[in-house]
Order: sequence, then structure tokens, then C-alpha cells
Amino acid sequence: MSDELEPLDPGSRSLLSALPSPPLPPELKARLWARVEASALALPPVTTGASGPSVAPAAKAVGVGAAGKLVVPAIIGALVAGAGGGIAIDRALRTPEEKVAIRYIDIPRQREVVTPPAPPAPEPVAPVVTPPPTVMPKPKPAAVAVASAEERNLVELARTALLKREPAGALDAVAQHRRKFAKGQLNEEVDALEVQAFAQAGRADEASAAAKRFRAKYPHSVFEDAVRAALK
Amino acid sequence: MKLDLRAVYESEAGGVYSFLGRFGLRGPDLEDAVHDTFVTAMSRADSYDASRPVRPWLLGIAFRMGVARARGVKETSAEIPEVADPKQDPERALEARQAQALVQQALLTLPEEQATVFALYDLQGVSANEIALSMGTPVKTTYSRLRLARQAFAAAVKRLEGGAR
Repeated sequence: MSDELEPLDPGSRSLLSALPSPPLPPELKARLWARVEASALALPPVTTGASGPSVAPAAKAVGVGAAGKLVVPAIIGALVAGAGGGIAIDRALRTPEEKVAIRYIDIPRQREVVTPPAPPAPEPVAPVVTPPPTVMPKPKPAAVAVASAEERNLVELARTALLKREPAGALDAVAQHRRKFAKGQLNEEVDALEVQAFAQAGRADEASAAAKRFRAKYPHSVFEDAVRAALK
Repeated sequence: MKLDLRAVYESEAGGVYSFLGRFGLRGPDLEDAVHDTFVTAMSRADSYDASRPVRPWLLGIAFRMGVARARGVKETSAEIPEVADPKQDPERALEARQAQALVQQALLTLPEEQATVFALYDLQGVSANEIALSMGTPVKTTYSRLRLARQAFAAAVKRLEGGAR
């Protein structure tokens, strides 16, 4: 079958051969594993299909054995999304019948300390965000870079609050995002987080209303599963 | 079916990191994409068929995470300063960065299935058989997508290089 494939054209071959293949330093490998493991253990309870049974909290379902092995049962349906924009490509390897409940369980990098704010207050306190020390924006484009980083940090703030079962903190972050990024790049993601936060807070009517707005605005959203799961 | 995430991480983390690095991610975005890859893999354990090779399945997830990161950082990536490697020739480093940027931009213009097949086959050297198994498609379909992907990639590179002049 491979003989049906013509060789890569010289231009593409030359370009690809110039790409470096960075090795993963052992120290970084260990640090990343700690993050992955922490994220796994922080998975919130997830339910599967409409008539399916509730799934036990992932923190219990994910076992860390005596030998330090993390064994993940095949029942967890969750998606950790980094940046929202490119998730549509997710369909490429997904089987048609697969149902995935989207939850946000990312554990922030150690050097990016994102502290969820206190419960709602009349004057919401700005999040304490420590930007990565290695990133030093140049003077001119700094405004764009900082704004974008701030927007992502607010989303992470909301995610972290949901992880900690602090829906008020998540709603606070959502509100801050709305004020600061009326035309933000992550609005779809934030709107989905709002539905989850209302649902987690037990504010079912507001969750339903937010979901209705979300679906009207984004009828084919990749976050639809998360919204649907939150309403159950 | 259970997925031994620790074992998969131990054996595949280096490959995922290298793959996403070749795709042009770096610094915190590269680390985040690797993290997201393994956590997503864990959360998708129910869609993993243990009879199929884990690497292409994982790299498929990694590529999606990489694309998401690349789209998210597109506007800011130019402001991330280079971390100088004293062992690396500055000219070659610059050449590599330019190649990475071009490859990444070109791949982002491709339809998702074509981009995934191209990235796995031509960027990371995963065999067409493995890709076909992981995507649940016939090998013939994989080759067909790859052929179209290569044409689209070459055209995109040409277009991007032309635009840069």
C-alpha cells in the first residue's frame, strides 16, 4: 500500500529535517508527572450517558498503588482542555459513539500560582496571578501579551475554583472575565464554566438559563457535553 | 480495561514532549500541552482499545492539545524570548525556529484529519498501519489522507513563504 504514496516533495522534506527534537530533561519529566498525577487525583465526580449510572469520584476511582503506579479505570469520561480554540480538531480520533463529559481539572504549573478568590463579595478582589518568570514581554506588544495571559489566567482561576468545589469563586472569575474581556477569545469556554458553576452551587434555575443562552449562542459547541453533564 | 498511566507516561512522555517540540511549542506551553495530553489520555481510557498500539493514540491526543495551544498562543508567541542554549549555533537555532513556525502555521491551515495524519506520519514517523489502527480507518484511507495532506501542506508552505517575502 505504501507504494501508492509518492515521496515527500523536496521542499517539505528539507523543512521537516530542519526541525529540532527537544529531549525531555529528567527533572522536567518528574515535575510534569507530579502535575499529571495531581490532576488525575483531582478529577471531580462524573456521570456518563443519560441513563447511565453515576460514576464514583475519580479521586477514589484512580488508584495509586504501593509501587507508585497510577492505574486509571476505564470509566472516567473527562476532557482537560488547555486552550479552547483548537479543540474542534478533537473529533479526528474520536469514535462516533463516544460520549465525553468535559470537566476542567487542570492543575496549574508550580510557577504560575493562581489563587481562587474568596467567596463573592460586593467588590470582587482581583486574582493573585504570578506570571511565569521566564516570560518577559517586550515593551510594544506587552499590552496584547498581558491581556491574553490575563484572560487565560481568569479561565484557569474559574477551573481551579470548580475543582475545589468553590462555585462562588468560579462565578467571581467568570464575572471578572465578562467585565474585562467582553470580546475575549475564550468567551465560549467561560460561558460553559458559568453553567457548571451555577450547577455546582445548586442554583439550578440559573444554570438552566445560562445553558439556554449558551446553546443559543454556540449551537455546535465542543463544550456542549460539559454543559449537558453539569445540568444532570 | 485499565490504562496504566504511570507506565504509559514513563515510556511515552519523552516522545510526546519531542513531538510537540517539533510542532513548535516551547516553554510553559510545551509543558502544559504534555500535561494535558496525559490527563486527557487518562480521561479517555474508556476509548482506548488495548489491542491497538498506545503511541499513535497518544500522539493523536498530543497533536490536538498542541493545536489548541498553538491557536491559543499564536498572538503572543512572538513575545516569548528565546532561551539561549550556549551549545547551540545561533544561526542554526534561528533556522530551526523559522522552520518550526512555518511548519506549525502550514499545519494549522490543513483540515484536522489531514493535519493529524501528516503530523503523525511525517513529523513523528508513526507508520500508516499504526495510524490506521488508532483512527479506526482502513490503511488505504490513511494513505489517501496523507497524500492530500502532503499536497495541502506543500501548497500552504509555498503560500506562507510567498507572503513572507
